Amino acid sequence: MVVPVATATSGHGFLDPGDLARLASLELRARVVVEGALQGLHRSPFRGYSVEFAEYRPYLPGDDPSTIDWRIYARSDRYYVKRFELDTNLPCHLVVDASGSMAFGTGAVTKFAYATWLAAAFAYLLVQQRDAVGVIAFQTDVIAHVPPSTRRGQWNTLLAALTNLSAASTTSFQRPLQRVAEAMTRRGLVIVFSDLLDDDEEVVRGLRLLRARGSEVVVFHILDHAEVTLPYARASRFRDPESGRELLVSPGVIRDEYQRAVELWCETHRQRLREAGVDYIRVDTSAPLESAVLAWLAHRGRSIG
Amino acid sequence: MGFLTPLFLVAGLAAVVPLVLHLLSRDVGPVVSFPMVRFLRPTTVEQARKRRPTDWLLLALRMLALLLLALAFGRPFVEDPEALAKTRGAVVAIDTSASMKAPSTWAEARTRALAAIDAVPSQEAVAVIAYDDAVHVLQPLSADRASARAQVEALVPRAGHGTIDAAVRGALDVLASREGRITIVSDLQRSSVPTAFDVPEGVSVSLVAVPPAAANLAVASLDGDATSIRATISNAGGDPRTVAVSVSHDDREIGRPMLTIAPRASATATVETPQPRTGVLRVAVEDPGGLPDDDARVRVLDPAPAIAVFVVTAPDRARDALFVEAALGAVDPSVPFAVETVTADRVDAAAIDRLRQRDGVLVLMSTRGMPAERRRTLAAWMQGREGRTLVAVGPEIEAGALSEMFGSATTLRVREADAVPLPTALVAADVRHPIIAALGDERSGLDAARVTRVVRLAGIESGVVMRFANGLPALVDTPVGDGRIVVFASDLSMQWNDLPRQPVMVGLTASLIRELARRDEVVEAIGDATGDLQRPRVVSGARGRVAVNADPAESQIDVAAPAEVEAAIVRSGKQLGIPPAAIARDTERAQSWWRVAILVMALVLVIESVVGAVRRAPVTGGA
Repeated sequence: MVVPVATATSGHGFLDPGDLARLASLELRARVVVEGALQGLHRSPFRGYSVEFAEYRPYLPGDDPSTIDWRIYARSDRYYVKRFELDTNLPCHLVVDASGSMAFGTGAVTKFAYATWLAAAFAYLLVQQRDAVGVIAFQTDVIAHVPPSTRRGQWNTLLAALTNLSAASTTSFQRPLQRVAEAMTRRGLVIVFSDLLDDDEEVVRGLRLLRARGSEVVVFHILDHAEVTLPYARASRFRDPESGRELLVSPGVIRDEYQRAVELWCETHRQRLREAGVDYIRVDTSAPLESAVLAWLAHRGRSIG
Repeated sequence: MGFLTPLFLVAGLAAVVPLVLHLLSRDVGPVVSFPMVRFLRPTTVEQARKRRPTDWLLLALRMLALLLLALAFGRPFVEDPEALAKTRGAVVAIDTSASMKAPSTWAEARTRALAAIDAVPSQEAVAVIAYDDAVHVLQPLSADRASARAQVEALVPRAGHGTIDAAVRGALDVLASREGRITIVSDLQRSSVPTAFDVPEGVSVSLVAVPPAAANLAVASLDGDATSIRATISNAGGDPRTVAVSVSHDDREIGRPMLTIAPRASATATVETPQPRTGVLRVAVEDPGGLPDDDARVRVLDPAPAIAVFVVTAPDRARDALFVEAALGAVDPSVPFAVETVTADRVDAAAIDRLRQRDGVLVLMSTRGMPAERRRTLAAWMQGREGRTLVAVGPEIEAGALSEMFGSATTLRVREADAVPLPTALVAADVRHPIIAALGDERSGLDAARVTRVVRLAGIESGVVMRFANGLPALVDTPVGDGRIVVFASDLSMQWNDLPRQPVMVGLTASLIRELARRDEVVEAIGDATGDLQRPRVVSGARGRVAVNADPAESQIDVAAPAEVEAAIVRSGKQLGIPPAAIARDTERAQSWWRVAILVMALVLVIESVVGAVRRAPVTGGA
């Protein structure tokens, strides 16, 4: 799945990442993204995830009207929906790649900023659903870890952790994902935000390891638009920010070849991860974040519903 | 067209080099940080496209701006075809001394001067000067012949005495190191010809001799005593002359003796009558063909006016002035002194006005009790052109008040003298100074004075006239603003020394006051006031009437031959001529084309900015 390039005027009514960057806080950005994405949804994407009743909660826009308990409505004149066990106890790990390559960005935001905003949006969404949410950031190893929890204040803890992150160093998927797998005491949801710029085999192996623990794994493959199109005109020395490797390249000469290689790489990842049972969603940082959230919600709705 | 600093033009050519390099080089941009290097394939530089200017107009504007900058630094100038002419000049010097007033002489001189101007080659600049007592530049070097002619047309002879060498020096000043010629239009009066004078190589001197007066009678002197009045008349002509000598007193003729004078000789006419004590005596002869200025001579018989002396003493010590008054009263009564004593507390506006009106000398012996406002008024007078002050810094002088009166007009300051050996005597430090010179042999009497206390005079730049025997300055003559002060570093009232008791006190006091009262500039001012055009005459000044007579040297009509003048020229060998670089520099400075180049460059840059702003493509990011 590829989230198309879109702008604030694309018709979705979503905020362009550049406009989103003007918002003061990460919390505000997350709320804007989630509420923008949920606006107009007629049913909850989590419907039917478990059949074990847990609690009632007030009806929220986007909830499936079929979950409304009409008997309570008859008594209290208020809408309540039923919550089930797995809805409330789903432990979710938001795994953010904080390697140096994520600091790249030619548009309004870097890949890393996009990843943290997206992670914050999902955290907000899940906290609203009273799910246990945690954050893991990694470079060559885990550099930040907030275990999943439903306690009060978790939202603020997550925001603080995401805000304090910065992208640097090199990437290594194997060890950090192994640490994530070890940290997971029971199956849950793992959402990875990364440009996947590591050894392809290590990336797939690591994600498979998570999947093998029985968790649902979703990978947001975040790419800058320039990384997809190679729009540069002048011959230049291109330097890898992680390895420092430099190549003298005339982009005009190899542009088509490059674009084909990138598409092939993404498609290979998509196929191999699908075979491993990992959801793969490709995101362009020039697209509104709401598109990415909706893309996953739609994908999830299909896979569950 | 030329350039003062042509090397900058080479720098202008260098502006093309970046363009050539741009066209020859490949378009290799800066290093780009890019995470997806793994998908890139290295390409060779040859595969990079060659650079091509995308906007020829902008390129042209920028190169033009650079070229204009180089042009401005090159200091361009348009070579002046007359520049070479400016290296040479011609000066026409016209004798306007009194001897040129002979009826036929001046008309001829003017004609010859005009002809000399017309003879100057058109490519040479011409200047006109007149000379008598001084050199007058009527027109600096210029190509304007009409103006030069007009100056000569309007010129009239004056009454001074001019010399050829002064004329040549003035002309050389006008030429200002240029080569050229000096044409002197003069009667070549022998008294105006020096024995030798310098003329640099490259400058020629032409002499245009105009005929002098054929004959001339002059009143050479006028004298008298209690028995007679005597006038000496000289005859410069070649024939004997018999003439009536008119002697008058205050415009009333008191005698008219006849006198016969041999050729080139003098004779004295005597009127047997006592010379009056006052009034103006005048002697005149009739000399229609001769010089007019020396046909009469006047003498002012008024006694010399008394020198007004204002002595300012302490309020309770008016008697301190007695020593000065007594000393001045003891000198030759032919030059009397009018002494007025004022105590410091009574120095008022009226007293200062009297001081000013009588052109007096102030003897300041005390500042004690003098109101601050009066001190300021007195200080203003002291520092003005009329200010003539003798300050005796005794115990009644307040150092602070005195410093305030001096202000910033002088660096001289009065300080307490300590740790100096006392008693001491006075010693002349500058025997040539008029104050000491006037003392003559009396100055040996200074040594007899015993001084028991002095003040230290600090900030002295020059003018130490006397010292104490211990080395400290005793008498300092110095300007204060436009005025003049003489400061005595002790008192004149027998408190700190016994100078008033010494015989030298009389001569010293008189010498001090006379020197301070001397007004050379008055005579000069009178000379200027007459314009040197009407002589003889009597002029009234602040010190009474003054007689102004013609210079006797101008009465001589004996002339030198041009060959004699040319023989007096000494070639100094001094190299003249203006170097071509200096001409170019002057021409460039006058034209200042570099300013135009800078202005045009600024205009080009403005256009470039506008064009650049209009054509600048939106920045999309990337290398």
